[in-house]
Amino acid sequence: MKTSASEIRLIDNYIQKQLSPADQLVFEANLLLCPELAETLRWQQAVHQLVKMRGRQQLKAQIKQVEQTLFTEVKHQTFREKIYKLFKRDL
Amino acid sequence: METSYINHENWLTHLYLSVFPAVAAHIKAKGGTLDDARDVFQDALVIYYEKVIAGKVVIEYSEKAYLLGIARHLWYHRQQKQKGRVSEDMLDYERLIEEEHSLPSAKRLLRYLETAGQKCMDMLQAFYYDKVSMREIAERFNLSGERSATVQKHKCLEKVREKVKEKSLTYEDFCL
Repeated sequence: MKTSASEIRLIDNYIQKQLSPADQLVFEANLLLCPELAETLRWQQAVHQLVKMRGRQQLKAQIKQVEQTLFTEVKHQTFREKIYKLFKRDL
Repeated sequence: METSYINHENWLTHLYLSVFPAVAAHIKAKGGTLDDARDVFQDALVIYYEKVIAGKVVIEYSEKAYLLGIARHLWYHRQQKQKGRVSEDMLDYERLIEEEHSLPSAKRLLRYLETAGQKCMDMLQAFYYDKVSMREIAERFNLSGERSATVQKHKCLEKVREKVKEKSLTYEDFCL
């Protein structure tokens, strides 16, 4: 379904909790009256969920990359030794 | 996977060097291993990023104290969970960390979107996840200004939404 720009904005503002209490009530009433709007809302929420997942995946990949550098590069040897010393009995 | 437009390498390195030793010492003292310490620290960094860096929450204490606090909290509740005791306030944190493991078809969808709408995903991620301002988004994506960036963002939202809808019908376990 093709939606108008203003509807996309309205749904987005609802998801981001940026509507005034009055507008939010009107929007929620519309959700009950219009199943198509409710469906569009669900898909738009799915996009947000996916965007968040993607953001986390990329952040975690960067964290792992930094960790890898710190645990392998020569210049971070002091850091590594400090950590390994803590867990000496485990190794 | 394509790396994000924002490169976090510097602040991540700084946090690892300055905070990880304290986190590792704590986890060791509480019976954890080096792998536990690494896992917990990774999750703590994600929470810290979302709440403080992107979430723009002003923290009362030092960065180190805050991050160490999150890590201690995570480790405590992880241990409780292993013992079969789950406390209510932890559920949110756990959801935050675990949700990405629970939706196999969401991963497929994301892979599909990398090929079918990567630029849009980059823009949506910059705005909604990394909380980059519209002005900066306009610059990064070579748009004439905030207004045109906003229009473009809405177009992307619609485009990705329609693709997700279309694909989800074939991925049955993608639940909304």
